[in-house]
Amino acid sequence: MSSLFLDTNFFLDIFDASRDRHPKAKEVLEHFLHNNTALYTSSDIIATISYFLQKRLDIQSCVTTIDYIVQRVTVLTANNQDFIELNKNILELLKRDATLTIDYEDCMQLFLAHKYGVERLLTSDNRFCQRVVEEYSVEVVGLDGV
Amino acid sequence: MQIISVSQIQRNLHQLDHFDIIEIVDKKRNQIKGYFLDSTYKPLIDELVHKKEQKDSNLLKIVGIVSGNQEVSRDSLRDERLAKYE
Repeated sequence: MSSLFLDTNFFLDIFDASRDRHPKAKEVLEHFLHNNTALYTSSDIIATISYFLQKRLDIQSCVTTIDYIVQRVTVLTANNQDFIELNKNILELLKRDATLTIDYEDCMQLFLAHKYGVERLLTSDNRFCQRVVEEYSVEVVGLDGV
Repeated sequence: MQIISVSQIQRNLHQLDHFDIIEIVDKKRNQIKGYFLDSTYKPLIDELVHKKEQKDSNLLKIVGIVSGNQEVSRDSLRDERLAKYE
């Protein structure tokens, strides 16, 4: 069974029919469900999208939407040891290249996907963990790369 | 529960006749490939399949639930959330 980690932007594209990438995101979601792909995200991403939803929907609809997501998408959470290990990895990378631009939150998503053996991470951010991604086993793909 | 390998099944398919639940492993890769269940478990399997289909169908209900947020991005949401604490 193939596996895929979903980033925040994918959910935004799925939620909002007026966004340019919505049709493609919908097509991709249908494709993954049809192919029985194991879907993953993180608790941080759920917190961010719940903030987005709560600003636009009533609390009942917000809760129902999050419920629909977590029934099918496995939510990964980092523990203390994960942060310690990630920090160590980041410091090691910076030791090798001090000019490296690090987005800590993105690195944590990548770390979690790697830790749980997720094959690919879907994001519409072209700069997602650039160069850092080479250190992990996860392949970062955009909507067009699926 | 009995455990048998893919190659054992290939050698003798009739092995599946003698058990009701079998774990099938890929010995080369040291991976669990899946489970074989006797047809008497069909009602349970049907229920499982139905639940899975329901989850897929529910996930599709989140498609297009809002509109008019073309400019919103992960970064802008992060900033907006942080601004709550200023």
